[in-house]
Amino acid sequence: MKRNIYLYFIAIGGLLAASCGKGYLTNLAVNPNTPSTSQTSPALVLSAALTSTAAEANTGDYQAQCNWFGLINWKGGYAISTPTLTYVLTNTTDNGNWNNIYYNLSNYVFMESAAKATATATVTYDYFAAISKIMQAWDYEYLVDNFDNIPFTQAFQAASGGTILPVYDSAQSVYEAQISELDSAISIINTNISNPIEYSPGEYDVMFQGNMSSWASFANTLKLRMLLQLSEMSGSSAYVTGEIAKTASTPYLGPGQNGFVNPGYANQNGPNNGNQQSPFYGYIGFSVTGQPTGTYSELGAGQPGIDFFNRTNDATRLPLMYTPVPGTTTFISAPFGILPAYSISNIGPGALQGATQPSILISAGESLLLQAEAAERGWIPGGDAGAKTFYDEGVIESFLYLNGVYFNNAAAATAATAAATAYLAQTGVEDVSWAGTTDQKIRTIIEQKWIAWDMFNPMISWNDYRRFQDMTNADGTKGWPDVPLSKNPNLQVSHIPYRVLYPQSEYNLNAANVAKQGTLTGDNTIFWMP
Amino acid sequence: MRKFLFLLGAICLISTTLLAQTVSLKGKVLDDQGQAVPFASVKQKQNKRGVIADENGYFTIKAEAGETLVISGVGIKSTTYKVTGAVPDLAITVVRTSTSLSEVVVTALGIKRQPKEIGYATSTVTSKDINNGSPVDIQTGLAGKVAGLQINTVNNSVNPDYRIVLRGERHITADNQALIVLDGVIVTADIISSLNPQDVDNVTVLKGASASALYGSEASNGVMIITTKRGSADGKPRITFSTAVQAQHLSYYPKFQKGFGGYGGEASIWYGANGQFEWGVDPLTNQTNYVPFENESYGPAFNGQSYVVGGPLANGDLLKLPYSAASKPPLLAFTQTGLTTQNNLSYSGGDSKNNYFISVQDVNTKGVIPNDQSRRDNVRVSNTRTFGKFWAQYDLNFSENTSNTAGNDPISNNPIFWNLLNLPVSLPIKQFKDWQTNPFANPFEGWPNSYYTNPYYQIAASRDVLKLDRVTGDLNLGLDITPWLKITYGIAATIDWEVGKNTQAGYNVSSYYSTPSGLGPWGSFANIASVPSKNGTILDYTQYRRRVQQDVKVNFNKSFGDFTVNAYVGNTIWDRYQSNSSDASSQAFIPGFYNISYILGVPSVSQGFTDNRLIGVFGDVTFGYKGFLFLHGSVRNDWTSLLAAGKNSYLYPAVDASFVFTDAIPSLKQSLPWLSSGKIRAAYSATGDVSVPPYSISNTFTVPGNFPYGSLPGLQNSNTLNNPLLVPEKSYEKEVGLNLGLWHDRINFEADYYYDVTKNQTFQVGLAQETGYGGAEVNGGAMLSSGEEFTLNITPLVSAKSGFRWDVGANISINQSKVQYLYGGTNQYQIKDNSGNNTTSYAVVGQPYPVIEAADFLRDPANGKVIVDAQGNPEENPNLVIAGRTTPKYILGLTTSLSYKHFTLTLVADYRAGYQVGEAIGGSLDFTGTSWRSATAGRQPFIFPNSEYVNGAGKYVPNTSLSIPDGNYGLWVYNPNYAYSSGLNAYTIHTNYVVNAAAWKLRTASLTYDFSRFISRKAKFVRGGTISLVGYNLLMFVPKQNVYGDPEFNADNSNASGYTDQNQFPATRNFGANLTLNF
Repeated sequence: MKRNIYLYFIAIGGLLAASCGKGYLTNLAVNPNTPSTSQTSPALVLSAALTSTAAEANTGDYQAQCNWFGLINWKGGYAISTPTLTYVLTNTTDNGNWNNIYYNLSNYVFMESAAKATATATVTYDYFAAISKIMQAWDYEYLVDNFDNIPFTQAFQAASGGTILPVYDSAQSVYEAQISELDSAISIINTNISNPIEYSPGEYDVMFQGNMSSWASFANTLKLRMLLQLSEMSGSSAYVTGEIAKTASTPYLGPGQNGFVNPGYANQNGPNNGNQQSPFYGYIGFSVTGQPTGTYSELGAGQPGIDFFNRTNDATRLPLMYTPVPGTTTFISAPFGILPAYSISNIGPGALQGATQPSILISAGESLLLQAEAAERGWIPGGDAGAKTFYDEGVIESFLYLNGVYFNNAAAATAATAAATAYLAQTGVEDVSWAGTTDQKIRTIIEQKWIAWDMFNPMISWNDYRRFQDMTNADGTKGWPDVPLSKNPNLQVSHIPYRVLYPQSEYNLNAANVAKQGTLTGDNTIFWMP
Repeated sequence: MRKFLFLLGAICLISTTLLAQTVSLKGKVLDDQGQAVPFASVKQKQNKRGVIADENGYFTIKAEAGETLVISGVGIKSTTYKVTGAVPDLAITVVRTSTSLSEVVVTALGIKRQPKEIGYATSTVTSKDINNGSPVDIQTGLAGKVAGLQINTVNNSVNPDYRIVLRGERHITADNQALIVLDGVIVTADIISSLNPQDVDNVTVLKGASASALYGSEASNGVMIITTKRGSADGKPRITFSTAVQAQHLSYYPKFQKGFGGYGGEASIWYGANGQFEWGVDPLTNQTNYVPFENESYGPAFNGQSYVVGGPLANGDLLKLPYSAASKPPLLAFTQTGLTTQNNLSYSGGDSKNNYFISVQDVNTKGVIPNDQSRRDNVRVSNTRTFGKFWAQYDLNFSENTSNTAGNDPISNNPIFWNLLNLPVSLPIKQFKDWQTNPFANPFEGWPNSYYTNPYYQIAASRDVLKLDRVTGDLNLGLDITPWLKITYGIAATIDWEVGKNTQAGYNVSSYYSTPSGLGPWGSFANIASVPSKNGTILDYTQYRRRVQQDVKVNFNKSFGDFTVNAYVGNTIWDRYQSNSSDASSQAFIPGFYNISYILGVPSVSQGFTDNRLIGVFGDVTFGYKGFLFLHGSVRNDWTSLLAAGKNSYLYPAVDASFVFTDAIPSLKQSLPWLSSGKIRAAYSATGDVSVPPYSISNTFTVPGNFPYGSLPGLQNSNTLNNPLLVPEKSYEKEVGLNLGLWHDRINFEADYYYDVTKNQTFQVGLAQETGYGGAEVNGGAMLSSGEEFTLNITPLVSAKSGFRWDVGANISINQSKVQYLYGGTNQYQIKDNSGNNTTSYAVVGQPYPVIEAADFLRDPANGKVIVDAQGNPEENPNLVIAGRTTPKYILGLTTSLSYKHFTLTLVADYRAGYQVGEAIGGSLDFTGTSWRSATAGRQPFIFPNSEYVNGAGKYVPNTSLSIPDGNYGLWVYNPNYAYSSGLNAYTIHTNYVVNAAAWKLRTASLTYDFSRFISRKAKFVRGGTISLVGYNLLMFVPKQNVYGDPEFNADNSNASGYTDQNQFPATRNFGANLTLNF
């Protein structure tokens, strides 16, 4: 017995020694629950990041801006936030996109570095670097257009031990850097387009399914949009024309070439319990079970939207964008800023096409109207006649889109084109007919861009409004698109806000740097404003 | 090896036969203060045969008249007794040779030391004190008994949660709860809820960090060591049976108004034809401002008339009830008296080399919420066997817990308490019990609340079922190579497996009830269900946890002249593994059938594993000089898997000294004859603690919630900057103490002072998102915690002749804490609860930890008076204000025990003060309008008490004239569409609900009758027994401002103390009876 006891202790000693072997502690450093940075490929990040950008573009901080620009309005019986009603902004008003977009950017930044890091002698990932640059430009444009000066050169350094208090860079320098990045992205795509060892993003590219020519066009269109944003800024024309000339050989998105995102939207909640509906539809439309969402119940048609369709004799798009008041055949709204005591029209079937409808980043329609403006200004070739062609094609795109031609109703293309052509053939109808001075034509382009696309991405018209905010309308109000101000009796300002304020989180977490931007209100302008 | 295991098992079967003699003497061994002396040896002088008294001093021996008995034992002077014949109630008094400083205390790693050797604060509570009132769990049995130990019952359910803290809070984000050690095995705090308190021999509390350096990182908050019973050494088998019944009655709940019925601001929203406000007359009731299906109670005053309740049924029927307060508010009418029954049976025995203990327990609880129930069954076996120089010992505990409670309601997912608070006090809820047959009670038909469900439906349709199986076990082997050199090896495991299933029924609503009935401005009488039909909901979850620990310890213990050396070196390795998985779906398509395989669509699933390990080596040595001076030091080094290589090794030392001046200076006792013992002590320790969750040192990506789309995967940045540079937290504690025994230890006094600083605290800070991450794990914060503890135990009255004895114990602890530094320029940190949600508790630099930050009115900075606007309405301060600390600064515990002959009355009371609690339930009640507070001004316009307004010159002027225009809905609930709104959400001004949390509580009262003498004469096989009447939480006295309930309750047992809401069902008063029989 006694010998057995000693043997037992020896066995214990052995066990002890074995358990203290190499790796006993360090083997547990690997997280089994979430993949590490090295287990994450650029492709896996691309699909999620693009889907996320699309959700932000179509729903982020949507309500206020959409209310301001008159395509939607609150129904009676619901409380509208005071800042939305009176344009008096706070540091918590409509600026959640700061965190969402910077978070989205962090994924693109990772994707670009991972594209370089994972390249081997037999396979390279330059397309991912190019897409990353393009989408970073998209995100930075979004940030600058909302916030003007933002952190850029010192952003995203924390992962490598850099600063956690990035300084703010001038908005103009960010814009110019991004325009240059877009050139660089286009150049990467054009250089590698026939390189056999380039890894194609394929299905992970939820916008163009790996078609890199489309990405080059998308980049060039985005660049055109950013440059047009500078159109009214004093002293910018040389830069604008010079930059547009640089990529003249790359086409813009043309008829039928939509920058639409669809990762495979489905009318269900996924296995991780997230909603897989198209974000616009799921936000302002109907839930997975087919019930109206809270937003659908609260929001209806905007008065300026219905008025525009009626004024321009557009019986095609009106019932697509809105529904008649339940139980009637009439389309009714109320002026923004007043709680209507009556029912108003809901958002219509052309906007809410289905739970799997694509998200819009840049539509062919927007691209063509951008080209129309550039041509009319003489910045791209074609002159006034070319501008008119772009304009017609652009308006037709809106009819095609709202009829579901790009979703589930391709057969409607012919009829929709015919209806648009008839609409465009009208003479003497302001904001439809191609007539008058260059300014009048540009106004027509802006108004058509607004009525067609603002509901899906209200940044489009907010940018145009601020760009053309010193243009005087017939009724004496300022700014294009021509929309009335809030009717709220407490309204103290004479314009829709020019910017949103930095979020409270910046004042808490990067206080010294944000303080250098001074005290701001919605009256402060973005650098590119006239 | 097989032979060895066989022997271990066989020990349980050993029993000893008794000697046959002539006279049977039954007696008790008492000390000179009338206190029972346990386990004394009682031997016949002539033939050396004898018995050992039991733990209560009782013994039975057969002897002949004229024989001499020798009574001896540890710490008592040998005493003889001459047998003269049979003596009823024989009491033998012995003299104690040593003071309270010579009893044995089990310290870290099971090392047994005498109190005089210990240089830090310890406290021991015996089984008898714990089980005085047959508590269902140990926590209840310990409350109020140890200075510095704060046990909070944070909620009330059939499975209550507890929070156990020693000497206040040290950590900002890391857990502040004490480490719990069960028979040498580190267990999670919740395990002790499933332990049978009757199995416990004693609980020793090592209050400070210095007491616990040897348990390593996990012990930085102090240690509670629970030692379970073993068989005794007298060779006799013992059987103990006890049974207890306890009733629970809802007693400490919010105060309700009794004057007003349903209305929620409707009608004034309505614009007339010309866009102006218009009041309307409700077409159902012909009343203005009364809504018959409203959850809020801002309607007209009760008038006793017959009013419509709810809307018309599909057949046009209307329900009418008196418009007056029901006999009981819905909360009280709905709840029932809960009942807990428990049965315990234990069997033990042994001799000087072997012992065994087996116990079984069954506890059944029926909750105060109808249909709530839980059951717990425990089996415990322990066994020790000695073979010469070798000994082996094991403990094995198995418990099975099952509970079945009401879940959140299937329609709006609200807890039942909240649903009850959203019913007007006029609703006689019991009339709505038959929801299946009574259409007015059916929540999908005429149920008179368009927003909250019928609680009777809820308890039928939503059930949370939990099964929890636990095994804790340990095996210890020892080899006493020589009397001064011993080796022990121990391996221990705690395993628990939790399986939960929460289910909610689906429903269909007929189109009549799901379509708003178009009552226009008065809201719409429609069903609370926002969708006309819904499938059943399932949530399944399992959690498996396992902790395995191995300890090797070598002990050297030898005297060299006047010096003694007692040294240990050892090694500890542990591994803690956890796996969690869950699946959920809201598409269970067969009514009443809940299996995740029978759903539509895909279930949402999740899975997680964590595994972390620690290796520690330690040395511990105590030098003694002449038995009155002791120096003790320990040093330990840990290596953890939680930190990066190079940062994961940390060393921490502890030293303490103890000086027994009454032994050092014998003349002291002669000159001060009342001084029986005295000790001063001092200690210093450092303790390392790694509080970061596993895998906090490298960055990862996660799957977005909406991914994958079909076969398309995607990943995103996890948004947390994990930090490979993290280092352990370090606590540095200094303490000094004094122990005095006076008048033969009839008075024992202990005083302690401690000062603790914890640095390098790890926590997650927010980062500006442009850094690439929303947050980062960092080392930062420093926190100071200091305090004083005083314990006084007095036996003022002992009269052996009259059988009268009175003991009084009092303890006071005072704790101060202060957050010294957080991180960077940050001066406040919002504390998260166990679910990771932000709370109203904050760590604020320069403030105690934690403090409540709350929304407040605008106030005059000079005197704190509320400022009203030109209409007389108060205004909200845009900034949160600090509204007080949330942990008690003062805790006073009082115990007293009064015995007369066979009766003992025991009372345990405590008082906690110097802190605040944020009763969010108060705001919720003011929102619903059922609160007493919202009706104190009769719902009429009133001048805000003690308010001021700003006059034209910008000066603050006392307000005697500006009256709040609407003292009803317009003040309490903000609604921008309500014409008379004050523009302020009065119910969200949280400072109104932050109340002084001070409370006197009579925690335990028990009256016990010991009928041992009586019964053992009648039935020889029974050795003794007691019967008791017990009560818990019988009385609670709180300041007048606290009209909400038990301030000890909390949202959960995280660091975010000081917050209650509608998820904690109110506290109960419990009373019952126990019967114990010893065989």
